[in-house]
Amino acid sequence: MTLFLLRRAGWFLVTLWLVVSVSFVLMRAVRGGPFSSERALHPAVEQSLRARYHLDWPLWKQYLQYVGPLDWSAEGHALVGGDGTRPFGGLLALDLGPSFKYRDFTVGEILAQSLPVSAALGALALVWALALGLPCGILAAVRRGTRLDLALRLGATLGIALPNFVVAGLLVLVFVFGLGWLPPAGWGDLQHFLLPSFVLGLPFAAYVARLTRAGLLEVLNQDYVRTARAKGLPPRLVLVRHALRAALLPVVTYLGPATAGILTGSLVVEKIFAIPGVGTHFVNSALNRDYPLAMGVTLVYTVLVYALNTLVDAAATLLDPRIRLEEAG
Amino acid sequence: MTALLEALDLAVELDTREGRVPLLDGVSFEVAAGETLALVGESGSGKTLTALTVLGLVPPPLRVRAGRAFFRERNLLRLPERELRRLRGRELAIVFQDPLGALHPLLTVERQLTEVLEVHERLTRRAARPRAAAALEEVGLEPERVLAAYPHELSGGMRQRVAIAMALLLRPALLFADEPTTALDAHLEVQVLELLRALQRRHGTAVVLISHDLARVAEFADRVQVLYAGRTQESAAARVLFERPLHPYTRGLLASTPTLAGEPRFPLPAIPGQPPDPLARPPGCAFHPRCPLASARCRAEVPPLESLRAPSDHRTACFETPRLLLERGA
Amino acid sequence: MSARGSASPARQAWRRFRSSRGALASLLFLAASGLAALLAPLLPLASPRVLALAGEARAPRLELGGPHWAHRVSIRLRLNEPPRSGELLARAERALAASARELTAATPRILRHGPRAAPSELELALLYRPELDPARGADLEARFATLLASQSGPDGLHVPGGGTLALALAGVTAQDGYGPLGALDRALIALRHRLFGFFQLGPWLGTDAKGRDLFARCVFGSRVSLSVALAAALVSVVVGVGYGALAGYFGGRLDAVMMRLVDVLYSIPFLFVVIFVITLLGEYRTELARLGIGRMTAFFVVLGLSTWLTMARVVRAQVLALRQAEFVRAARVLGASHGFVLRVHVLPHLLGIVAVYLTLTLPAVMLYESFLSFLGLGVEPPQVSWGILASDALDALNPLSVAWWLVLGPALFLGATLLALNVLGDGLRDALDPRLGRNG
Repeated sequence: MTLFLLRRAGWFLVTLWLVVSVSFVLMRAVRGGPFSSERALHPAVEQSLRARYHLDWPLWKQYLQYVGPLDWSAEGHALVGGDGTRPFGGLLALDLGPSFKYRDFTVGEILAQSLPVSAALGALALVWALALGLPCGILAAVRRGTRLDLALRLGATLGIALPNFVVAGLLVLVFVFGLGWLPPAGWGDLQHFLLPSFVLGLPFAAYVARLTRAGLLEVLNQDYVRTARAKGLPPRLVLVRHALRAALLPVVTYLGPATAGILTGSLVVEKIFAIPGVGTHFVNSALNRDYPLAMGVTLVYTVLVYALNTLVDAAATLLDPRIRLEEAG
Repeated sequence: MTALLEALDLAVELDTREGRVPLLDGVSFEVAAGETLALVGESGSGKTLTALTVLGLVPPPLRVRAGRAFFRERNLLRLPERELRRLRGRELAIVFQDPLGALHPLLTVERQLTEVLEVHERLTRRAARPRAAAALEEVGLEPERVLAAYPHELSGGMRQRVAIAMALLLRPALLFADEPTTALDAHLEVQVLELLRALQRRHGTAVVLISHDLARVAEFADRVQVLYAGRTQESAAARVLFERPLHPYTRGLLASTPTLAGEPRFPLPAIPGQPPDPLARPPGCAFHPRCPLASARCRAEVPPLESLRAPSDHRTACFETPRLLLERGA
Repeated sequence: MSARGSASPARQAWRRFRSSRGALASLLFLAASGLAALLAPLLPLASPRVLALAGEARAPRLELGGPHWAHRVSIRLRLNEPPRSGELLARAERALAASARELTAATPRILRHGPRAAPSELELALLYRPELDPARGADLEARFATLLASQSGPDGLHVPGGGTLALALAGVTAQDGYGPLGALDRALIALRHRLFGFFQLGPWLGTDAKGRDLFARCVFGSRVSLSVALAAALVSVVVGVGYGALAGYFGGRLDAVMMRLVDVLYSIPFLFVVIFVITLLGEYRTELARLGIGRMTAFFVVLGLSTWLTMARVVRAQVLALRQAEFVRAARVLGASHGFVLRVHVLPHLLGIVAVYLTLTLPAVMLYESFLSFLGLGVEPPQVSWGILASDALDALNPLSVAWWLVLGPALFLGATLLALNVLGDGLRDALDPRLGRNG
């Protein structure tokens, strides 16, 4: 297991480094820096801004500063290993740099504010995905061929097909304007969470339902389920201990890509419901050319997705003793 | 002798778009306490289905159309599911063909054994463990190693032994063994069958041995019943069937078995043709297209299963029986 | 096997596919949608662009419609007094039409405005042409005024056949309903004009706050959404199949390296990269334009590149399996080149699985496009796409005026298309390999 984790960590660093380097070069080398979209700045002001963000340095210097092995002191002397107060600077010290747009904040501070919000939203969406998807999938499998099964399957297809902003629009029409049960936007307590997390989690709930149904149906046909019945075990025991345990493995594996999908979907959902999360910041940073913020968000998301995928793969081996870690690594 | 299990006219069918397909077409058999009955036939003849029908495990979309199965005076096919569940595992057990598929891949051997005891005898897991260990020893396995293992970590022969131990845990009165050795290497086949026989003798279990290998069952069965296309074609005491087979199909099967004794026959005789597609069963006797003795009557009518005058438990379903008896000079 | 008649795998697959009513219906629906999108200018819809400064969104009304098509040049004539007889009016109209034809080389439709018995205004409506548009410097108004004056006297227009009609030129207006059009679209518009005149269907899905008909915008939006999806999917297929086939065919170290790259790319949330790249490309618009790469083309390519990974993986697995197949080895032994083997033996066997994954890629790309347009990073106005429509709709929602139809329009179109694609994909998957995918 440790070897597996170490290897995963190794590839992770490679991936991360690739992402950082490529985006860094693209951002700094590309025309149209962060200040080109604002009203024409007095050249002196622009000059001092550029100096402040070290945009006047040569590219390699900026790169090393950002990634962190070197840290230049104010006087311009290169100090290997930092400015005396800490061993490394930049990324190696988990310092993502200052935001270009929100001049009084560093990227780290902005993320610290918005990450908990997005995390809560995403976690709740996952909860919806499982709490809605699993029972529906099980029901559909156990009642295969009935009208209930057909209805659930249609519902699942709709859930996957409809884009989340469409669902959001329809639900807002019904629950906010029609019935008036929920507030339209804003962020604060549970009622603000409910609709956005539901909208975000719905397509994943639909997919979980499908996976569960398909997996369960296949398992229910397996010989070992027949053996369990032949042993005289009660049906609920057969379902839970024998059938579900085998059928849920694909669902667990799905949680990895599901998280990535939730992150993607959150961009739209946060915009619709005016939620001050990481996704909103990302979209704005793209529009504002606030590159450090954009990069910071991308890095955080990459870390999250990678960590979760690794976690899920490790969990898969625990659940199914037949899977060997070499395959998963 | 009252039979332990008496199955009468079991009929199972499947609805397809092209029509209703009979998979079991009136199969009857009986097993007495402690005896071994062999059900023999090619794949598709309905042998596994026979066992599943008795146990009430016929999977949809297949459907039991008719039949009765009396076990200790009760008709299993009419029993409510709850009662049937109580019998399964405890009085009636089954060992399946492919032990890797039949054992749960994600549960340890111990779990799969103890849960039988937990459910039927209300034991706790801890109390059930020694019983599970004892069962494994009885089939010749080492409990310490095997209990904690998962099925895929064991060899094929060991898995089948586990399955047998699992089936016999509660000392059932009747055990169905559905092709227990087909998935195993040849040298293991004999071992497993001998193990079954030893256990049977020790506990007095009746065994219904299902197989496609007529020669193999010769040593181990008391009585043999031959199925073809969902119907019984011949049944007799084992010795009688092998020494004096009457039905052309049985004879064909026996003739096509390679033997070490006697003259080598080249080419090995085989029954020409193939078993019929259930959707397109020929009228009359199901075997007539492949039968060297087929007459017009065979093509038109279904021959009933009839007993000989002597021995009276030798039954065969063939219109040509009188002729064959004459030829043999019986 | 039974004597039911053997069929080639392709025919068997087709039979299975045909038995799924959902999949068939989806295929028909998608074909119809594609056709409608292609022929959109031919349909008697409102123009998707013309703004009516009325300022309020109007709810759907299920009325048949009328001669309200805005894509026209109008010569408006005010009747100073009601005409003495209908017959006089008719003759006057014919004369006016002839005058208009003389000036514009096109026959106008004559529309009467005002009460039926005594119309107060006549409109000579011509199919819009840029050269007649006053906003572009055409002097049609002046020329018509001159011509009219030459045919009038103190009592009004001299109507051929006797009588006068007192009217005055109220003005010439033009509305371009579609912006610059390609040759096919221009032909379709001309054909529509010939078939339907200026008839357009009623506001079946209502209008938005700027007076634009939602149904028309949805149909025209389908052009963008569907073509983007197809183009991007094409890119995805080409790149994915190429990459996967190469990796799978040559195997060994090349395969290991290529698939490692895919694994690395897989862990990057692609939408982010897409947004990144699109923003960056925006900076280089002029350079790209010089190379002939328009904004839309860049968009297709970027979108396509965001979804090729799965296709590559799947194709590679298939090619790896095929490589071991006897017939491939036989061909190599007989001296066939790599290229030949790939083209003739391997590629045809990939068709099935590529088709299946294509039906998965299309909805994914459509979703991405609508996401991006929704976020303002995709298609730009005045072009319409379903994502933009949804974004506008949600922006317009507020507790005071709930324009629910604005949400319903794109929801219906997007939802139906994506649903159809998904069902089609499921049907294809079941048909091509019943073992793959879901049971029942």
